[in-house]
Parts: sequence; structure tokens; C-alpha cells
Amino acid sequence: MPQIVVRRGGWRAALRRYAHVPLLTPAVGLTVAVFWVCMAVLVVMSVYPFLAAGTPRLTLAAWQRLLGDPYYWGVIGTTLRLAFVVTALALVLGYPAAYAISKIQRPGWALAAYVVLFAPILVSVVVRTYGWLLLLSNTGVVNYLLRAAGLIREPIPLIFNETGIVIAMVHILLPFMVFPILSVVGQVGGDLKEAAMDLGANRWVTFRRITLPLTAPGVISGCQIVFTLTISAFVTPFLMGGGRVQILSGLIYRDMEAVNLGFASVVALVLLALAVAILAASNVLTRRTYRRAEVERA
Amino acid sequence: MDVDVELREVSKHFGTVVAVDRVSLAIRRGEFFSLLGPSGCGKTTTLRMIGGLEFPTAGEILLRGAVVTDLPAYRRATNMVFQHLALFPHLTVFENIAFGLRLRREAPDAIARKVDQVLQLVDLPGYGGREIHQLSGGQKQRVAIARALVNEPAVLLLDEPLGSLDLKLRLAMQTELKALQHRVGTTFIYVTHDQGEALTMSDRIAVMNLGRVEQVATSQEIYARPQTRFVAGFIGEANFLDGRVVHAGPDGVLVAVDGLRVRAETAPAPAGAAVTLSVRPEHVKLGAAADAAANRWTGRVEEVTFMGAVVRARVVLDGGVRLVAELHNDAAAGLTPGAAVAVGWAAGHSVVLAG
Repeated sequence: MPQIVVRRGGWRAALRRYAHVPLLTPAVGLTVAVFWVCMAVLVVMSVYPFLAAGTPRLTLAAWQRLLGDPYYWGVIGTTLRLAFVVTALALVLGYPAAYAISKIQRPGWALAAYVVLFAPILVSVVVRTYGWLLLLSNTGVVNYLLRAAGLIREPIPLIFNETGIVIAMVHILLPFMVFPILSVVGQVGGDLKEAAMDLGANRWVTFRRITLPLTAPGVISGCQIVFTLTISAFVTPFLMGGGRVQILSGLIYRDMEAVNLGFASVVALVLLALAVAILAASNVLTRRTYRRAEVERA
Repeated sequence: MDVDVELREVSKHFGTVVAVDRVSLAIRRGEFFSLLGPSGCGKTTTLRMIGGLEFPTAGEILLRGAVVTDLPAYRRATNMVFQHLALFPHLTVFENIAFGLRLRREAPDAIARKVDQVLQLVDLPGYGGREIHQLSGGQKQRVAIARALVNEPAVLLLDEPLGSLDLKLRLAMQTELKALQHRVGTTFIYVTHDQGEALTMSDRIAVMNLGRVEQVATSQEIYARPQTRFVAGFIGEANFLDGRVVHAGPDGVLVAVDGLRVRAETAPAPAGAAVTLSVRPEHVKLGAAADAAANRWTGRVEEVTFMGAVVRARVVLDGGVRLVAELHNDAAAGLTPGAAVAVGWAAGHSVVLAG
């Protein structure tokens, strides 16, 4: 026994106290190297645009160009609008899906539902986007069926516009909305719903007053994930927009291609700032709803 | 006497399992009525059917004379206190209690007044602003009761609400619940598997087993005059003696048990019928105390167990019948294993059960 007491402050204890350091190092190292260093480079490049070309010279020209031109404000608007619409639609479609999956009793059926919902993640985004192009083009299946049913005469333009981007993005990001909601919706106890019904609430009121507030944390994190993925998405908006819908990630691509690194850096930083601002705003909301829901589960 | 809740031949099947089997009950207005039985006896299902959280496979349920068999919970004048309380964690104490009143669109000032009153009633004045997680187990209990009572239900349903509390708190809450029921005068239907709890609080008890009601009676009646072997064994303890009625007349009953002739006062069966006798251990007298008993034999002490205020003795009668006696420890002096002893009990303490 005494030996153990002696060793308590020794090197073993020190080792134990810092056991998390080697575990954290790779992740922290990677984040610092890849993210923070690159961010620093971006910031520098946005004000020294010719860093790559030769003599560096401090200039705010790239910032002035972006923030002073209504065209670019329009691009920022389009980017935000797309992100909000995709997030809202994913929520509207994803919440009922998550709710329904949580209701499935038989394990086999639950597994089947998971596979159906999440299998598309395994397919490349490019492949899925081309799939949507085929389906939604003027001569595609959707327009063909609508015409065959006599609902329209002229094909509805569903690609190379915002509609196409929204449809494809919602499909691609739906699992990211369903999963966080699914993880909380099953934890709302049946007895809470019964208690609400016992106190006079029908199914709809029970949902609105009990289930929805208690699943808000899942809804918020689902929305955050979908929103950030949409605002920074490139491949799908690029292909579905066909070059006719300009968004921030498209600007970055354009200016990188044109070796206009300073302007590309500015756009990248603006995109980052937008994402951070929206996340921060929703985090305030989360903290409010989490406080109670978390305690309940404890 | 007004009947608040009536069940007519109510059955509930879950697939092939019969949870509740042709139960008929009439629960009076203002009564503290308990459904008592072991787990799986159908007591909770019966309560949930009264509350509209479960619907009968067959039979009818009447609430104050109106058929409510298929009405959902939110259309019934019943409110339930759930086993795990089911307080809404995202709402404050006030919001929890006001939940039902708000759904009925009562005026805000009326709601505030009623919530205040009910918080007074359950002894939690000023707790309206608290969050649920800030409350202790006993306080949550009171909030759950307040949330149901504030709606002034015709019947308050309680599903083992004290189950999660520790023993001391449970005993305190039992007394408090009974007093509360007395004050508000609402009909309480209380589900429990704890016979002590049921005996303490209830005006009447329905003992259930395997989906059926075995007996409905007052606490005293259930204990003193159990009608079935199950009831006699479930409520308190009992010595069971299998025998046959040899004589049944106005002067009393004689039952033959392994060569013994045991006297009883009444029997539910005619002469010749096979019956079971139930004798409570505390009614079995030993030594001089057995002298005046109508049923008196000699036997031998087999085992003596000291249990504090009482002593339990296992005795074997000369014919070979084994009995357990329970006596106060001052009456147990001189009882040693192997000693010969007189054993007896009064005719009134032999309860004859059918079958």
C-alpha cells in the first residue's frame, strides 16, 4: 500500500494525467496545419494578391471589388437564398421521415428504412447529380411524364436554374437532416405523449407542444449541417446550374482558374464569415433549447 | 350511492394474451379505490382503459353514467398520474400544471389562480417558476399530482405513482395522498402491487390476478375474510390447510384436515365439498394462550425466528400438519425447538375458501 501512495505523484501519474495528449495530437495537428494555416494564407493572400506572382504589395482592392459591386452582393444573396431554401425543404421532408423511422417496430424494417435512406450517401455526388440532370432535363423522365399526363404542354425548365440546384441538393443532403433528428426523436418518451393526451391534447397539439420542442436540438443540428454543406457546395450547383446560377463557391472556382488568387481568397473568407455568422446565430437558439432537453435525458 | 366509474365485462386482449378478462367493477363517487395485484395481473391495463389510453377488446366502460368505452384520453374527464410521472422536461412547474387548463382555453388569470391553489394544496407554494430538473423526487411527485388534479377530473387515476420513491418518503406520501383525497373529495383509482400501500390508503380494494378480479371489498374485509386462496396469500400471510367440509349448519362448520376436525364459523360450500382453510399466522396461539380456543391440538416447536417485535414459530401438530405462528416476543418466552406446545385458534379465524 505505501508504495502506491509514494508513486501517486510520480511519473506514472504524470503519464496518466497527460494520456489524452497523444490521442489528441493527430486531430489537432491536422486541423491546425490544414485549416488554420490555410486560413492564415488566405487572409494574407486577400491583401497581398500578387504574392504568387512576385513583389508583394498591400492592397484592399480585392475586398473593395467584391463589397463595392452590386453584382457580387447578388451572388451572396443567391448563395444564402439557396442555402435557406434547401435547408427548409430538407427539414420539411426529413422530419416526417425521421419520425416515421423511429416508429418502426420491427428491427428488419427499421434496417431496411436506414438502408434506403442512407445508401445514396455511398454514391458519388457527381453521379447523383448527373442522375438528376437526366431526370429533370427538358427531354427527361419528369417532363415526359408531366406531358404524358397532360398537365403541361411545354417542358418546365428544371435544370440550369435554381430549381434544379434545390432539387438535387435536397436529395443529396436529406440524410444529414434525418440522422440528427432521428437520434433525438426516439428519446421522446411515449409516456410524455400519453400525459399530454391525458391532459386534453389531441395528436397534433401533442406533437406541437411536446414532441417538436423536445426534438428541437436535433432539428437545429440537422439544419446547421445542411446549411453549411449547401452554402459551401460546389459540384452540384455547378452542374445543375449549368453556369447560369452564380454562387460564391462558383466565384472561387472561376477566379482560381483565372489565377486571380487575391479575389478568390476574399470570396472564400466571405463565405466562411457567412457560415460562421449563421452557425453562431443558431447556436444561441440551440443553447436555449438544449438546456432543458439535455437535462431531461440525464 | 353515485357510481363514478363502471366497468361491464371489460376484456382486453393483446394478440393471444388476455390481459384483462371480463372485469366488472362499480367505483363510487369520492371513493379511494385500489386495484391491487402482482405485476402482469392486468391492473394497469384496466386503469389505462378507464383513462382512455387503451381500449377494451370487449365490454363497456361508463363514466358518471355515460358510455366512454371508445373515447380517447383527451375527451375524457379523467386525469392520470403516471408511474414515471411523465412531467414535461421543457416546461416549468407552472407550465406543466397549466398545460391542461391552457388547452381548455381558460382565462390567464383563472389559470394563474388555479395553479397557485393547487400548488398550495400539494404543499409546494411558490414553486411555479422552477424547472422540473430542479425538483427532488418527492416534489416531482407532487407536481405530477397537481398537474392532474388542477383539471378537476371526475376521477383521478394513479398508476403506482409512489413506486420510484424510497421507503420513508413513500410512507409519508401515502398518508399525504389519503389526506389530499379526503380534502378534495375526488374519486381516486389507485394501482399498486404493494398490499401494505393498498390497505393503508383504500376505502375499497379490488384484488386482481391473471386478468380477473378475485375480490372487491374494504381493507378490513379483504384481510379478515379473503374469498380465494390467492387473496388470502397475497394480502398478508396465511397457513393453508386443504380439507373437506364434513358438517355445515347454523351452529358452525366442521372441516376435516388430515384427521383433524377444524371448526369454522361459515363456509361458502356445502358438506362434502373440498375446501381450503386459511389461518393467519398471528391468529395461531401457542401454549396457555391456546387454552380457550375452539380449535386446540398439541404439537411440537420446530423452529423459532426472532424478528424484532414479533417472533415466528414453526410448529408441527401431532397429526403431521405444519403451521406458522406469529406472536409478540413477550409471549414467546420458553419456546424452544423440540418443546411440546399447545396450538390453537378461534373458530372465527379459520377462513374457509372455496376450492
